[in-house]
Amino acid sequence: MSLMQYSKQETDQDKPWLFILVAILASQIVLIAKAYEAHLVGALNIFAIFIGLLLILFAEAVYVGKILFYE
Amino acid sequence: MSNLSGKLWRWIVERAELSGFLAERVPKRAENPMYYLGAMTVLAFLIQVTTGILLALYYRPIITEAYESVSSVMENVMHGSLVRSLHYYAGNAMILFAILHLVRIYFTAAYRKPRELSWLVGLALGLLVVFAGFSGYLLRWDERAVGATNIGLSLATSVPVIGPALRNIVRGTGLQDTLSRFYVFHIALIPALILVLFAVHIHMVRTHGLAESIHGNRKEEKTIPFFPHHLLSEICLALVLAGILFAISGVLPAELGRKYDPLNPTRVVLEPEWYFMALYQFLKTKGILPIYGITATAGVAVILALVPFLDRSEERHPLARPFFTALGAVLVVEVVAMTLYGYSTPGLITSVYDPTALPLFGVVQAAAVAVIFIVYAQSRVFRQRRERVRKQ
Repeated sequence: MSLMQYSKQETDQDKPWLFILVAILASQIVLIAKAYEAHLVGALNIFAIFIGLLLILFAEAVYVGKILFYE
Repeated sequence: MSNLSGKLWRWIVERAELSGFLAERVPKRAENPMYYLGAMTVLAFLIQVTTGILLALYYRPIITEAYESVSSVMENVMHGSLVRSLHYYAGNAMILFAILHLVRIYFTAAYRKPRELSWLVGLALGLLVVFAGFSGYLLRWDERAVGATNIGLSLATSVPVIGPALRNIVRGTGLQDTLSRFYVFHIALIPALILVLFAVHIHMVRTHGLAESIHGNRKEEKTIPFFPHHLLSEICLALVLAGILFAISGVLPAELGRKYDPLNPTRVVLEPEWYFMALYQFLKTKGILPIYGITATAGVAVILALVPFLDRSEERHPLARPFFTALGAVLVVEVVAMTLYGYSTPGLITSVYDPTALPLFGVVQAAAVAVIFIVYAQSRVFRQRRERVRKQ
């Protein structure tokens, strides 16, 4: 029994999804950097918001992985 | 590399005897986020424990130092403010998810035989979760926290017969006693009880499985594997919850008010946490004695505990059992309305006889009556429609 036993056949579909995920992450970094440069919030606030967005992004990646490989 | 990971995976599955667990299937409807509320409560609890351990490294439960230690965590400890905010918001999330979970179980009658004990354990867990929030609120030792805790404790002392004893147990002989006891309740006693009851609750949920669908067609139901499908969905929601808690902590860090000084009290607007606001509003209504608050709270708890034994019909759909649906809906409407009422009149003693308060009070009661009519009217439509379908 292995992890891959549960997966369906790999496809090429993961590439556009990966592109979207990277684009979302990049735009989040840019937005947060702009907010920090404008001194809108402190470094700790930025750090917390960034980690939060990163976790949500990771959740999105896991969900996409589930759709691609297991459904 | 993949061969090595495969071997490692097989070894773990074999040694931990996980093959049966991994082969389990769950109904497809369990993918609905409403079915994840219990799991989210557990996750929020785990975040609470993790951040709580970090905070306990710096906290000093002494009345002259408690406030300063919290303040120091926020200002001098790396990411201390973030950890405290996460602890605070995870606590709120835990209570919110526990309430929503209870509401779902109630309205779908998932407490029916053989799940009565699971329901009772769940209710006990709900109370413990609220006590965890209440006991933690005092530890920051600012004016609002001490004031709000005093109101809560005045409720406890008004309990007939056991009130004075309860006061001695919870309050002790002075402020230092109260803080020490709340600290022990918050970091040891309540989490330990929650862990034990979580284990019992989860064991019973796994033993009985998910309750039947409210449409009652369990045998024809589609199922999906628990691993990895359902587990991955749970991981996704867990990550989203953690992400939201981080983001909220960044946007609105947990506050710390002025230090409580018994010799130099200032007039602050006392405002409990949102989950106590309805009860607080009830108590600050002119003419309402603390004993009424205790009676109302105990009455709701007793009704909820007895519901599995009173609701004996075979129906699971909320509209097929209008009495219990209306009862639950009235309770939800009253609690929500009283909470909003409390937030709209901060610190004010309200009176049902007050001309300015009367319209709002009237609206609350009218809403409760309207809910009963709506539920019964919808129930009638539901039964007529079902009869038509049966005849066809």
